[in-house]
Amino acid sequence: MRRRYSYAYLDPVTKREIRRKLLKAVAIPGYQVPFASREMPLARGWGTGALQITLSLIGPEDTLKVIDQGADDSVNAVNIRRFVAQMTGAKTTTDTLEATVIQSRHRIPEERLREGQVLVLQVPIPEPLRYVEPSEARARELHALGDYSLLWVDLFEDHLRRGLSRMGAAYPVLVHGRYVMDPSPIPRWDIPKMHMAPHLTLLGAGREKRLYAVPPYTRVEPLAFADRPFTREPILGRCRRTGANHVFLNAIPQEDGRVEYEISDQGYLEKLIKGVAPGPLYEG
Amino acid sequence: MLEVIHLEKRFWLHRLKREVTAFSGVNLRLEPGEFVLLEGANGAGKSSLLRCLYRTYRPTGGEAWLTTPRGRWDLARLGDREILWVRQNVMGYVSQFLDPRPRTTAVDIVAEPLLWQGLDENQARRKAASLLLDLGLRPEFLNAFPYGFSGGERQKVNLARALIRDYRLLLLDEPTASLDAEARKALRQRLEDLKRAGTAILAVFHHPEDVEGLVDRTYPLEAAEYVDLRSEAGSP
Amino acid sequence: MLEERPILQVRGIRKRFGDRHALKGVSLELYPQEVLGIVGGSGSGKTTLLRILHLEEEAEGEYFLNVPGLEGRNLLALDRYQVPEVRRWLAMVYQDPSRGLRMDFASLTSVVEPLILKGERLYEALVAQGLEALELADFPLERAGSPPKELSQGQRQRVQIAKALAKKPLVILLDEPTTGLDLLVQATFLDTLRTLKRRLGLSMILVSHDLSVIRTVADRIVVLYEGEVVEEGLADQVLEDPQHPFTQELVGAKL
Repeated sequence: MRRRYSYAYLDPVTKREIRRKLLKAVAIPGYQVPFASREMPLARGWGTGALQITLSLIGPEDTLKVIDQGADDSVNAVNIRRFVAQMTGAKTTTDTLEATVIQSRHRIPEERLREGQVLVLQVPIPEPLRYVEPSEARARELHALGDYSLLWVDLFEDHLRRGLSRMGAAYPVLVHGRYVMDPSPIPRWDIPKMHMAPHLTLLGAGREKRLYAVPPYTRVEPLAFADRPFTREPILGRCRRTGANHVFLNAIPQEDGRVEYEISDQGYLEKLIKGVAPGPLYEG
Repeated sequence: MLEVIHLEKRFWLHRLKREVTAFSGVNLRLEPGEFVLLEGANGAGKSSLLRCLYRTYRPTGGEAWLTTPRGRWDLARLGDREILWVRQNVMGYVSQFLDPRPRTTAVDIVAEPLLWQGLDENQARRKAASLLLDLGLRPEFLNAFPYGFSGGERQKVNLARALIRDYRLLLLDEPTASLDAEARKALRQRLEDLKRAGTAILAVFHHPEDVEGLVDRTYPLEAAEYVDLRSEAGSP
Repeated sequence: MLEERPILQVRGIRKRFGDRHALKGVSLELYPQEVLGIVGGSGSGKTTLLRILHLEEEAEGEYFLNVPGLEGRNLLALDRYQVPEVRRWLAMVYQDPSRGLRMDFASLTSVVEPLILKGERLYEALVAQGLEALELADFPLERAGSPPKELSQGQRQRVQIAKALAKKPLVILLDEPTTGLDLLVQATFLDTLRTLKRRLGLSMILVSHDLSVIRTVADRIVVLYEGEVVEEGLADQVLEDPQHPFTQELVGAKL
């Protein structure tokens, strides 16, 4: 199959364009860089942006992990992993610590990533101002001016009405003190993992044609009033297989109306079950 | 203190294409502490003269020099901001018509000139209340809205507002209309005090006996034309 | 004479909409702690003038605000990115509250929005300042959480006033603020404005076609007719000794 396609499926011109855009994104943390998103053998809205990033970076020496809401074995994750492996000859793994590139939809793994690892997140809607400023042009102006007051007003209204921010996932964060970005629909639980992290995070929105980045050791601060600090979700139960409640759990509604919980990060769950020592987790 | 030279007021009524002369050729002088009574038939221009001095009307000819702490100024030609300052600090005016302020209490209306002077709100209200009570206003009306008052009570509010400060020049236009005897006495007393303190007073009194003994001179105004200016000029 | 500097000054304002000359050279000044009433009929250009003062419309002429950092700079010559910086000195109360408020959000949220824009990031401080402003505007505090769409017109205008007060601007601009208010509500609303003027020493420019509204609040009045100033002076002067035929009509019509 490799003979019919360029290495990693993308032609060299495309790969170069994406790498240039990624460099720009890394140089301007949190800034959405437009790119000409290519046709991929994957429907738009299913991770084409992140896939293009992964394909532009990965080489035969790399080890790839792909997860979808924490699971290595969902249909989406399996398909992407197989495709990339076929196109590049890279090794694959479900072990977070072994991977050099981790492509993920809507979760950051629980085990702490090291320097040299790259996390590629799938982003449906890259524009954090989308719901408060529908005009694309005006949103760009606001980013340029550093004017995020619309988000703050929204936040104020939430606190006033509900006593807390209603945003569950994709909580807006201020990157490097300059641009506010949408961290992709990861739960609030994962937000603190991005702050001053040793790894590189790249975010790709194929349908919206934007990519952006958080370089290692960069400030990532969720928008919050100084006297109403950002809080993560409370963990409401225990994992039905390990009894753990110190990491993010999936809620699994049962037929009888009860809810059962299970550790969302499948790789981490498997290590616990097999008795393999996991890597260090993020603090706090 | 006040020197009026050949002052005149004409109105041009566009709709009627008429010119109406309210008064003309007025010359008079007023020294501190002097009380001059304006006399003349109705429509002779007494009210218009007072209004011209207060600059509610713009004089169309002549001069009116007023000595103020900041200099001797011609009221006829003075700028608007200066007139405002003069009204707040030097010259007071009383007519029968209540300022259209629907929902300010009697005390607050009277206290306002003191607030301009820089007094704090509580002090100002206390002085205002005391003066109103002196003039015979019933205590329960102090914090009520004057638009519900009878004519006499409203007049007390009007008066108090002009008398609350020691103006150098006081212009009074029929101030005792609708006042009861007691209030008239209180007014007379107050005017006497002001005279002694050096205030110059130019006034129109329907009943000159109200100020018997206070008047130093009278000034007669002759009608240029006998007109009821109010209805023609369209003012209230 | 008094050595006074106006806080706001415009000279020779001209504005055209296609062939129509809305303003043909308007000049005026506003002094500290004074209420200037601008009266005129439809087509007089009064609302256009106010929009220009709020930098919502471009125009020819000169516009100065006497604030630190902006002295001597013609605000009509600024580019659009400098406008927000100037707007923090101005507050506008619109005839239609939905232009000035977020109708679906809590009233308190609209009130604190200018504070958020200024950079306040403490929630409690925002709430406290917002409630204080609503109280000054004689707004019933128990309804601070209600969105304007659920309030009466009079209450909506009070929320706008509160929003203006919270900003602590140099000048408050009001465009026919009593539109849609019945007489009693109008009276209490104007009373609130007067009380605020007395207590806080506010400078305001109030535009209205209604003389009876202007006369209760204004210190000086400017009369606009077909895009030009035809008369100006102290309030009682303009109302009782109107010179210009239009003013005389206006005053006469009132009786």
